[in-house]
Amino acid sequence: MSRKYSINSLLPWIIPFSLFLIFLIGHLIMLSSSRSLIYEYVKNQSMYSAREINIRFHLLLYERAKDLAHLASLWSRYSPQTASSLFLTDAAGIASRESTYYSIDYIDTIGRTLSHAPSDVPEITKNLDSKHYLSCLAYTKKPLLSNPLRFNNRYRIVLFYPVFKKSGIDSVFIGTVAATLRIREIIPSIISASTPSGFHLKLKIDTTTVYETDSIGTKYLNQSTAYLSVSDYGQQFTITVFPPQHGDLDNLLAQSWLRFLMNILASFLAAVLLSVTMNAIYKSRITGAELEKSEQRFRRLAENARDMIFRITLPEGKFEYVSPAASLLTGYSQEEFYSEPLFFRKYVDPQWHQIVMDHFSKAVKGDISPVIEYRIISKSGEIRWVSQRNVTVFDQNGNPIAFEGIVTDITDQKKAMADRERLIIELERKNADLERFTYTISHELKTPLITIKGFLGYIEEEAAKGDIFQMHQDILRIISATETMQRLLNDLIELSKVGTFSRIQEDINTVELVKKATERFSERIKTGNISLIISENMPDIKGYYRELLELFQNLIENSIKFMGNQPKPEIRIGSGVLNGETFFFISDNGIGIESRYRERIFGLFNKLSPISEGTGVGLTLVKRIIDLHGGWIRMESQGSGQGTTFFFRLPLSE
Amino acid sequence: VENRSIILLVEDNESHALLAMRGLSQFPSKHSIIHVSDGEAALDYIFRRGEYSNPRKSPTPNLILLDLRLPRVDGIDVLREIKNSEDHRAIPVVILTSSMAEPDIVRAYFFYANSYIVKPLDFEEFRRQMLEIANYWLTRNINPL
Repeated sequence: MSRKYSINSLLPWIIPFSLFLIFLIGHLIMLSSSRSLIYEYVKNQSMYSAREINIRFHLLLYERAKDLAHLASLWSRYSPQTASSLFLTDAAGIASRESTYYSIDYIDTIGRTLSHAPSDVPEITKNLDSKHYLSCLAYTKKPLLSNPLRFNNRYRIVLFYPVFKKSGIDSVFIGTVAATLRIREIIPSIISASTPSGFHLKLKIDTTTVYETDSIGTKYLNQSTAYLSVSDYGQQFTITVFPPQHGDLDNLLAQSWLRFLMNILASFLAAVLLSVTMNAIYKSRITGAELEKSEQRFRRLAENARDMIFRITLPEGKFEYVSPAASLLTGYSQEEFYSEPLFFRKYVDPQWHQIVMDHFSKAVKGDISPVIEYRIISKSGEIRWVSQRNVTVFDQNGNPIAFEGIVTDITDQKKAMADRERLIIELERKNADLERFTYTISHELKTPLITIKGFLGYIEEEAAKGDIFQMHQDILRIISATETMQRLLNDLIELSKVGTFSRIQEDINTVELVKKATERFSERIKTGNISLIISENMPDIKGYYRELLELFQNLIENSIKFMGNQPKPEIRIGSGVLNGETFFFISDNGIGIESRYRERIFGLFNKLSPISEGTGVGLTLVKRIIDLHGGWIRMESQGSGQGTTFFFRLPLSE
Repeated sequence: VENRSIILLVEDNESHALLAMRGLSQFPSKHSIIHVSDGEAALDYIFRRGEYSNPRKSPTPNLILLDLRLPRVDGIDVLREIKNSEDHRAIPVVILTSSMAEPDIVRAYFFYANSYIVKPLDFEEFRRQMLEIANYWLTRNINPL
């Protein structure tokens, strides 16, 4: 069975795997979106953390600015001497209370440090380009942060607070309070407690990284890094929070991967399962459909076949199936076939019962002949010849369970064969006849020749001796021989003409035909004093006129020839009916023929009397003409001296 | 008690019979020819039936010259009857015919013909052959008769 790979047959594969593909793409999208969600989540966390740090840092600066505002008010309210003494005490107090302070100075508008507390730490502000900040302060009138300063390997940063003194309605910029802050002390208080552990921080002021958590051997998730850049106090702060690539995040990612893989695996298995199922369904549907189709095909063949197709169960011998041709063949209906086991006994010719049953008992053993021939008698009594071809069906264990086959009507074949055999025999006979005919002719023609030559030889001798009388006798013999020869030739020509010339069959008035036939012998009939009685009631015949005329002439001549010494010669010609068959007859009361010569008389050149003048062709010719018309002829005689009757049959005109 | 040879000539054709007898008339030994013109008469003579029942008038022939195509009973049937008879099968039967047909020759020998001679067309030869036949079968050949 060859099947084309159509789209249909591939569907059971295409559908599940395209479903799987869609599923896979969906999962990949989900995976990537879940990852980006995770990244987003982590980034938000980082951002929160960065913002909190920023807020805390600002709060801290605000607190410090408040401290400095108090100190600044001293300078703006009091005289420089008073202010200085008050400043030193207050500044020392503030600095001692708050560890973020390193030192607090007061710097005038031209950059001179007027006060410095506590006195035991170095004056870092001296390192600053204070003029730059002072001009900024004068302009903005707002607190200001310096760039980070590196001192003793530590970062410091200076917070300036401007000081203004009222003179009239104007405020005059007189200096600045500058607090040096310890960055190391600031960091712990601004780093958010909510910052997740393992997060990495980087704090940049201006371009200087002033703090960075220790990050050796740690990988960071760049996608989720939060940058926060804030401008305030005349300074640029940048806070960067790096989430680490491990811990909860790692777990989340790993979980999403695992879920992805497991889903893919599950959907892949589902796709395989689905395709297998679909294939199975598809195949079963196809084989089912094909089975049905082939069954239909077989049925159609069987139902329309002219031969009888059957299946007989073994060992019961019950018909399981017969095609409709069975009832045409046997005259029994299909239902009758199914009605009882060994039903075939009903229609098998009783003469063939034993043979067919022998075949059946061989079939039970699984050994039936592949072809059997037997005769059946149909329900209507018609005799038929059949040929049956058989195939035994075995079960898995090799036991015969049924035999199937085809029964063909071979009646015509048988008849044709018989006809052929008959024809061959006939042909052989005719061939032999022909051969004998040839020999016979040559023999018969040679006979007068021998006579002629023989007596010519004697005539020569007699002439030499002068024996006139004997010579005359011999000459007569020679003449007689030539006459015989001529007659023979004429007869042969007549014989060969039979059925060759007049091809048209015509309706012939038999009475007229017979009268015409007797004309030739009117002289002999008269001299022989023969009374000729012709029946006027003969039916008309259908045939070849010339041949039929010949037929009657020969029969009449035969009767005249063999009249013998009958004192009251008589010839009767007429017709009769026997068993519904019309026949003609010609009878005489002449010398008769012994019944043992009944057949011989029709043979070529066969004569019963050596002295008769005939050639022995006449009755052969009669027989041939009768044969040509499909009739028969029979001679009857009670024996020598009892007269002869020829009965014959010819086709009648309709 | 004459020591005469008897030749039975079975020939339906009168002219042929005459030719044969004329040929045989020159045969020097004492002989007489009995001519019958059909198979039935031949059998009647040999088996002494009917008009031939007197053995004095119809002595057993020393040679039979038999034509094949005969009226009533065919030559071949005459031959068969003779050779079927234990008393007569020793009589030499020479088939004298104008037929050269093979089936005739075969059948003749099948029924134990002693010789098969075809009548020659030539007059001289016919005569010589008749003498040869008589000479051979009646002088040279020895048989228990």
